[in-house]
Amino acid sequence: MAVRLIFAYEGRDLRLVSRQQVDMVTPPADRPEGVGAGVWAEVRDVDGQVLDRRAVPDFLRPDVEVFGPDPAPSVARAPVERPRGAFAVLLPELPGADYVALLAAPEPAGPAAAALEAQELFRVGLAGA
Amino acid sequence: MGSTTVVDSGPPSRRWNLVLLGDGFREAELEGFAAAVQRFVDRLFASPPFDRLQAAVNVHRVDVASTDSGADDPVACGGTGAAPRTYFDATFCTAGIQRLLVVDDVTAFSVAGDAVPQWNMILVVVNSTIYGGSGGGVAVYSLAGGAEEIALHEMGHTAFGLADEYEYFAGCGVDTDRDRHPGFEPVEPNVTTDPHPATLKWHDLVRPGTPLPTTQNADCTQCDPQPNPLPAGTVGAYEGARYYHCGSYRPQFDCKMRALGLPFCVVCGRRIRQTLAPYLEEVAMPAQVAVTVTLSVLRRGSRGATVEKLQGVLNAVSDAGLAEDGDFGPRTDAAVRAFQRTRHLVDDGIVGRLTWRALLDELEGFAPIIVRQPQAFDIVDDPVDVCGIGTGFEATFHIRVRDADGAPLAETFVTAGGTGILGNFAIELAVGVVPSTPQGTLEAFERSADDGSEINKVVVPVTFGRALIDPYIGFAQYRVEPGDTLSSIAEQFYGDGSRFRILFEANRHQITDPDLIFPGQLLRVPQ
Repeated sequence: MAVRLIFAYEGRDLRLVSRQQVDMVTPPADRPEGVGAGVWAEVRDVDGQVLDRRAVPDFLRPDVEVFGPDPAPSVARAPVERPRGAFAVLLPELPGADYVALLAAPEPAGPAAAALEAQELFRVGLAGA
Repeated sequence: MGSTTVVDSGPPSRRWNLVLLGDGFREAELEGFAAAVQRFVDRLFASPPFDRLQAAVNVHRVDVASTDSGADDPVACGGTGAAPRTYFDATFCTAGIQRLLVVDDVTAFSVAGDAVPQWNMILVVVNSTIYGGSGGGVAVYSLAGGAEEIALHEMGHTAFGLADEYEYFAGCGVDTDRDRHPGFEPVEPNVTTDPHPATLKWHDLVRPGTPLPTTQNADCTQCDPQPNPLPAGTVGAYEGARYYHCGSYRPQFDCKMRALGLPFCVVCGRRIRQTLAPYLEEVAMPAQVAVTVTLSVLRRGSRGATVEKLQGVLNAVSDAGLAEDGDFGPRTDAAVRAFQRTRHLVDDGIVGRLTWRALLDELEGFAPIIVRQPQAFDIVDDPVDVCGIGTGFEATFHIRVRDADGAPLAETFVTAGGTGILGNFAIELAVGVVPSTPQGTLEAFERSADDGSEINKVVVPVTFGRALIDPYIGFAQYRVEPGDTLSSIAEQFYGDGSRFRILFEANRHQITDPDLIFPGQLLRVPQ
C-alpha cells in the first residue's frame, strides 16, 4: 500500500490538496541520505527517525523549462517571478510511520556558497491515514 | 469521460501506470486524441530503455471532452487571442513565454486519480499544432511535430529523478552568469561535480582508458565548443552540465536530458530501469522443493503471505527470530541484509531472484526428490545428464524436459530407493532436437499411486546449450570489466557484437536486462 499526497503551490505558499491511500507498488526510494539541494519528502516515525526519503519536483526554483524546435537549443530555462502549479508525492505505507515532512534546501547562487541547509516546509500526519 | 487501457501489462496495483489525458479535444475530436496517444506509445516503446521495459508499464488513456477545441493563445505572445473553454484550461504564453504550455495540474491529478488511482505519471496532450509544453507535476505537450519529445524529457525529471544535462541556462552565448557550478554535489544520478575515477557516481560504467574528466572546457565564460573527442556513446565525465559551463559533468556527450530528440544516456537508462524494476513480472522461481513456487520480489514495506514465507525461511536458515507476520518491516529488512552479506550478495534488502535462490538453497534437503544435476540455470547439453536422490512409490521417478513454452521435448523414467528410502538415481535423457527456446525446465516427479497424477514434482530451470550455439561444447568464463557491454564481449569472443543474446540467455540467472551488467560479474560464454 502507498500514500499519495498532492500539494498545490504559488511561490513559496504551499497547501495540501489531498491525501489518498492507494493499493500500488512504490518505486525505489531515490533520494540519497544527507542534505542535497532541492526538495524531498521524508517518512518519519514518532521519534523523528527517517523511514523513507524521496525526491520531489523542485517547485521552489524561480525558473521553468522551455522548449523550441528552432532555433537551437531545443530546451532551456527561463526565469519566472512566482511559479505556480501542483505536484504529487507517492510514499510507501510503512509500519511505524508517523508523519511526512517536506524539506527543501535551495541551491546556492554563487561559487563556494555556504553549505546547504534543509528547511522543513510542511508536515502531514499519517496517523489514521 | 472514460478510460481505456492502451497497454495492459498486468494489474495496475503491480505495474507502473502512465496516464494520458487530452485537453481541448471536443467529443468529435477524441479519435484524434486516441491517435495521438498511440503515437506517443509507439515512440515511448521504441526508445531505449523503455523498449525492453514494456512488461513493467501500463498505459491508460482517459477521454475527456472539452467544450471547445484548442488552447488559449494570448496575443501578448503574438498569438491569435483564442480562449477556448477546455477541461484542463490549457494555455500558451504562461509567464509571457509563448511556448510554455501549461494546464491546471490539480484538475489533471483529480481526473487521473479517479480513472486510475494507481497512476505514476500523468501526461496531458493538448489539441494544438503550436509547438509547446511544460514539466512539473504533470507533463504537457501539444500535437506539433516532435513535441512528444517534451513529454519523454519531462518524464525523465518527474518520474525518474533525472537532472538536465545541458550546460547553459537560457542558451549558449546568452548567459553571463553560468561560468562555474557552485560546487555542491547534485542529488540526481546523471550529473556530478566529482569527475575523479574512484568516486565518480557512474565510475562502474566507464571503460578503462577513458580519460576522466573526459572533456574540459577551456573557457568557462561560454559553452564548450569542442566536438565529442570519443566515439558516440562513450561513458566518461564531460564538463558542462546542469546549467553551468564548468565544474559540473555529464556521463555522455549527448543525452535526451541534454537535448530533445536524442536517446537517453546509459546512466539515465540505468536509473529508469532501477525505477521500473519493481514493476516487472514476478520472478518465476522454480525451486528445489516439492512444488513449483512463484516468489515475488520483496522489499521493505511489502506485506502478505509471501513475506510470511520469507520470514519463515530466514528464521530457518539464520535464526533471525522474526515474527512471521507477513509484514516486511525494519527487522526483516535487517535480517535480509545480514543474510545477503553472508552470501556476498548486494545487501540492498531487496529479495529478488538471487536472494531467493540463496535462501532456497539453504532449505534443500526436505523434499522427497532432490535433483543434484542439473542445478538451476545450468546450461545442459544433449543428452541431459540428470542425477539426484529420492524416494517414491515403487521406487520410480519420471524425468522430463520442456521448452520455455511448456512443450515437452523428452521424457523417461528411472528407479531409485523405495518407500521411505532415499536412493541415488542417474540417467541420460536424450532430447534429439534443438529446442526452440534457450530457456526451459527439467522436471522430476513421482506418479501418485492413487490416481496417477504427477506429485512431489521438482522443477529446475535450465538453459539448452544447443539452442544457444550448435554444436554446444561448453562455456568459457569471462569477468566483466568496467565499460564492457554484452555486445563488446560478443565481439571479443564471437567476432560479432550482434550475437550478444547468446551471452544474455546463457546468463539469465544473473542478468535481467542485457543493457545492465556490472564489473566483476563472472559470465558464461558458450562455445
